[in-house]
Parts: sequence; structure tokens; C-alpha cells
Amino acid sequence: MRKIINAAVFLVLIVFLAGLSGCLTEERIAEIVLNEENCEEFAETHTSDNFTSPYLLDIAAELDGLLEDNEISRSDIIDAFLVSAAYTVTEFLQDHPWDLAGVIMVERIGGAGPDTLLDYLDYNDYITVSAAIVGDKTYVTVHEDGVAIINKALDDFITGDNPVLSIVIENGYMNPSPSVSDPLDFVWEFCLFIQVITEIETDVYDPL
Amino acid sequence: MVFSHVFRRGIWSAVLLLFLAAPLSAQVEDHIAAYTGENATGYLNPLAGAIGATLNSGLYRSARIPGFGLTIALEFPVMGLYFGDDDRTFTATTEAGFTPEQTAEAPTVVGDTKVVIVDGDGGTQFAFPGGFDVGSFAITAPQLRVGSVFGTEAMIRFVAVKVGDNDLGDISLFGLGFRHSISQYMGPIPPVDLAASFFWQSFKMGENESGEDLSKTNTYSFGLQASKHIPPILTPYTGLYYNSYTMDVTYESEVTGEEDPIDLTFDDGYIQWTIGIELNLAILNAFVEYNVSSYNSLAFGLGLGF
Repeated sequence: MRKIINAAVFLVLIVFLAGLSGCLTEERIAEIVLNEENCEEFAETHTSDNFTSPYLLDIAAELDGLLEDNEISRSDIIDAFLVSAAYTVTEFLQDHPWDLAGVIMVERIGGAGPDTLLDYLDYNDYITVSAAIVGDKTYVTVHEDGVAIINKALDDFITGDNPVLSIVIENGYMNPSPSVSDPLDFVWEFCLFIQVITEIETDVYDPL
Repeated sequence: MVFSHVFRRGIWSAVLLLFLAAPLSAQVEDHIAAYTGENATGYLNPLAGAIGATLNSGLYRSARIPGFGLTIALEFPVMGLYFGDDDRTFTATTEAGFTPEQTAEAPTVVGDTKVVIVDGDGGTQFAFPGGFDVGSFAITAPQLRVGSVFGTEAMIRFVAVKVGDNDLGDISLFGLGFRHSISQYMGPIPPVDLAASFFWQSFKMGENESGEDLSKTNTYSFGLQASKHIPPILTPYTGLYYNSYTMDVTYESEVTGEEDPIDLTFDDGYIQWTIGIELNLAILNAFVEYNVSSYNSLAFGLGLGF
């Protein structure tokens, strides 16, 4: 009887271990979403309404860094696109607020544009720089033409290109108007939020 | 000697099965990194429910507990369940300042592997991550029952696995409970055996990027069991339980492109009805049971003891 019990237990465990060797996991190709937020900081000190603040966004360098962090190659990317844009005033020490109006333009270096990515021209869309909004992230409505330039650059990145974008803040109006005795002085950052969709091959635990 | 060898194999099997849950937890963190709290709760909810339900099954079988005397049983239950269609999607809301804010039926952790993409203003888009297309979940852990004093026995479940890989993290399960015979107060030959039980378990799985447990689950089970031994080898049994679980998940969200710590808590309390049958072959016992609750589960296994 003891031998029978031993054999029964052993057989059950063998079946158990055989199952563990392959039947409990199954291969899946899952689509994951990687988030990339590219932020550029600007220190603005101006004595007139009109000023421009340009910067270059090396899409390829940014996304290659993201892929490296996640151990994913460019060929694993299925899609990438712009999700939103936002600004944050990070430093403001003056004793009165400012209303700013203007546009942010985007251009593909050696390619399309410039086109408007967003504007803050309407009274309701003015950027109000004040102590009260320091640290708050404000999302802004983007324009189709500017988004198309960014999304095309992302598509080209996927197919092997290394696009660089020129983004320019063009301010055209301020209230009150700044002067030498009362210059505009604040630090802010402008951020583009991008999602990258990739595939990963993985074994998942699906035992029954 | 042969039995100690067999026991070692059994324990190793249990450890392996628990071990296999670790890769899932590591992959889950990659997926939920794209979510902040509210969406992550919906995404993970089926997994939390599955862990809670499976931990609270396979606990007890025969309700017969002697008044006094040494009884020892080492058991290897496997507890599992199948996910339903309702578990595969949840209503997710766009994040990261996407406009206009909108909802979509997105995959849960056990849902379809494809992302769901919605269109927004000015040609923008937002993607909800895919799931792992998982149909079932199961865990196992050896458990030891020791009795009895005044018709009371104690039971522990314990497994600790150091995976040794920071991406996977460690797994540990510890449970402790007691059971007391009610039928001992029903005369010398009660029509059925009855017992009341309490069991608590702590289950930790995975490791997040901060080196903390990715998930910590505490479960509680209060219940009544009834069984009737039908000679020579059958013991049908049933049980009615109030079970609850609390699962804490801590991970780094990357929804804004930067890592923000997110703490999620899942909890639920529910009634579970168990029906099963045990085969008693000398010192070897085998059982299979079905548990009816908000997450129906199946348990089966072997026990060695007297």
C-alpha cells in the first residue's frame, strides 16, 4: 500500500512539474505605452512686448533615450503621436501679474513649416504670469497644422529618420507693457507630451 | 526517507508555481506606469479580485476535528479561477491634459493586448495600454494543519521565494488560522461534522522601481464548514464564508513623463459558498472543490497526514 501511495504522489508531482515547464505560461505580444514629456525652460527678461524665445527639439535624441531606458529598439515602435502641450511658470518674484499674448510656432528643420502649434492671442487664452500660478501646469489647445508637423516628425523617426524641430515662442502683446524700470522677469517651461506605442513579446502566467 | 523526498518535491512544485506569478507582476508595472491612480485601479481590479478569491479558497475540507489528540496534515492545494468577459475591459478616462477629456472601454490587465487609441483636438491622440490576454489565474502554497486541543486545530500557509532579480522581486505568502469543532457539542454521534473557522493571509508579490513590494494583499476569511464521511473513502463537504481582502499596489507612474509615486488600494468583502469532495486513502487525501462568489474559483490538491 505504501508503495502505491508513494507512486501516486510521485506521479501527481511529475504531472505538476511537467505542467510548470510550459503549460502554465503562454507567449503574448502586448502593446505598451511609453510616455515622453519634453520640457524646455526659458528665463524671460524683457523690456518690450515683442520677444521671441526659440529652441531646437531633437526628436530622435529624446526618443532614443526613452527607448534605451525601456530596452526597446526603434523597430519595435508601432506608432507615436503628440498628446498635449502645457506650460508651467516655475519662478516669478515680481509684485504684479502680467498678461501675455502671442503664438508658439513649430518648424521641421529642413522640412515643413513653420506653422502655429498654439496661440494665446484671445483675451480668454492670455497667459497670465502671476505668483498664484507658479508650479501649476496649464494645458493648452493645440493647432492641427503644428500637430501635423510634430506627428510627421515622429512617423519619420519610426522609419529611421532623425528629425529636429524648431519651436519658437513669439510674444506680441503684454499688459502692462514692460519697461526698463519695470521689466518682465520670470522663468517658465514649455512641455510637449508624446506617447510611443511599442510591442513587447512576453510570457504570461495563464495556468488553467 | 521516500516520503521526505516526495515532500521536498511537493514544496518545490508549490514554490515554482508561486514563482511564475512574479514575471506577471514585473510586466504589470511596465503597463500601469502609463496610468495614474483612477485608470490604474480599473486596469488592475481583476487581478486584485483574483488574488483575493484564490487565496481564500482551498482552506478547509472535512469539518471533523477530534476533541484531543495529535493530528497533522501537510497539504498542497492549487487555487485558481477563470476570468470572465466583464473582467477584460474597464471604462478608462484620458489623462495628461488630453482634450477633450473622454472615456473609452480599455483593456484591463487580463484584457486584449492591443492599445485603444482615441482622437482629440487638433490631431492629437491618446493611447490606453493593452493587457496581457490572460484567461486564468492560479496560485498554490503548502499548508500545515496541526490539532487538536478542545476540538481546535491551527493551520499555517507559508512560502517565501527570493527571486534574486530586481526586475521580478520576491514573493511571500504567510497565513495563519484556527478552526473549532461545533459538532463536538452536538452529542456523541452528530448527523454531520460542523466547524467554525478563521484564517488570515498576507501575500506580497513583485518589487517596484523604489525597491518596495509592488503589491501587498491581506485576506480574512470567517466561515462554517459541514462534512459527512461516507465510508470507506468519500467525504463530501460544504462551507459558507465571509471573505475580504485588501490589496495595496505601489508603483511609479510615468504619465507625465516623470516618475510619480502612486499608491492604490483595492478592497472587497463577499460571501463565498464552497462545495467539494475529499477522497481519503489511508494517509493520502485528495480533494476538489468549487467556490461560488463574485469570483468563482476552483481548488484541488493533495494532502498527507493522519
